[in-house]
Amino acid sequence: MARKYSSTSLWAGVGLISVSVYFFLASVSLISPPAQAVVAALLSAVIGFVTLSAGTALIRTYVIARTVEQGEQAK
Amino acid sequence: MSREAITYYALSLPAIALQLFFSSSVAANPGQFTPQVASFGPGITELVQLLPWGLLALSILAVVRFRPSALVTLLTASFFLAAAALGESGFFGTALGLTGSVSLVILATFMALIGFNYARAAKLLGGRPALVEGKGPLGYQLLSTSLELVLPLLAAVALAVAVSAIVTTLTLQTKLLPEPLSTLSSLYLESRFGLVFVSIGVAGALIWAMRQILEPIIMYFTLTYEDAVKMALNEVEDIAKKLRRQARAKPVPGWGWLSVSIVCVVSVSSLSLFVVSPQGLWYNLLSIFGLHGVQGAGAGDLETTARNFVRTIDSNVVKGQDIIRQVIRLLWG
Repeated sequence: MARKYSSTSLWAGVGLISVSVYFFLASVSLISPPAQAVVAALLSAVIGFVTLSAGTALIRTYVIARTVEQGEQAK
Repeated sequence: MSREAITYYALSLPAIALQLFFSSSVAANPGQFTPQVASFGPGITELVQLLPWGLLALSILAVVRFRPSALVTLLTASFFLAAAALGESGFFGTALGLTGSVSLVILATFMALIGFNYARAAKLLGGRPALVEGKGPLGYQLLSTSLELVLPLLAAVALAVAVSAIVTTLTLQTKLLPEPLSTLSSLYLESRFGLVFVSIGVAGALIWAMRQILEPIIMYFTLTYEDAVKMALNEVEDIAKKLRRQARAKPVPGWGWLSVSIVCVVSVSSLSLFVVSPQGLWYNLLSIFGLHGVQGAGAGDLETTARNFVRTIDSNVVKGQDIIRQVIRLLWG
């Protein structure tokens, strides 16, 4: 039987979380002297929040699917 | 008293101590109340002095009745009351700024919420000793205690420090924004409530990020098959509901939109007639086609009526502005 969950979603989620961390760091560096790009920093933080949400949602779905699959196999 | 109950009371103590601090600050400095408090009339000063003590008594009752959410609500109310009454002059002195006070409130809130776990355990046990089945090596026991108590406490402290640092940075960085955003955001952050709301927003965002990261990790190790099936069904339920709604929806002939449009046209026309007067409206319509109406006699009465109507509206708008101004003055200091 084909697996209903794939580790691709897990790695995609981890990748998105990494991207979100990058954007959070970018938002901090954009408002640290000598840089003064406040609006860009806020936008960067927003992108970070969105990618973090997407990444964790993917991992959450992966964990649920994996648990269901393992439970069905154990039955 | 069980170990869980003692831990619960110990974790609730900072919230009570903070409320005691707010109450005594308000009671000890009636001369430093903001002018907005006095504007409510006589007797309000005494009421503002007494109210924090009432909130404190309710908080103690909330602790005894194992109601941490009520405790957090009362703590927040007590803080807002003290901030509104004293402003920057009272307990928000040089040693403890407004941002520091907000951080302390967040820290106490976090600890009270951690205590909820122990309160639940104490209620379940009902005075009976907890039966601990697993007795591993000392290292595992230390790890267990760390995960149970030390980690949330550290997270609370880190959260308070992060909120304070971020709000301070934001306050400094607002001056770099282009005008008029710079002035607007600076004024907003200079106000007491603006700073409090920003602090709460930053804390909320940080807690959300922590939850987003921690939730899948905890789920990975603790999720059971039954719970996973329920969660999977919940996830698809919203999509299924949307699809069912779309499948049930019948094509509408558009009468609803027509009714709304007619109501809008009638309302705008009525308003125009009242405000401009029928003659004025007619002349305006004629002027669209390059025509000019003949000035008839007897229009004075209608014009006077329209002018009186406009004066009444103006008077009501001015009253509304005064009320809004009073509210803004109260909130912004």
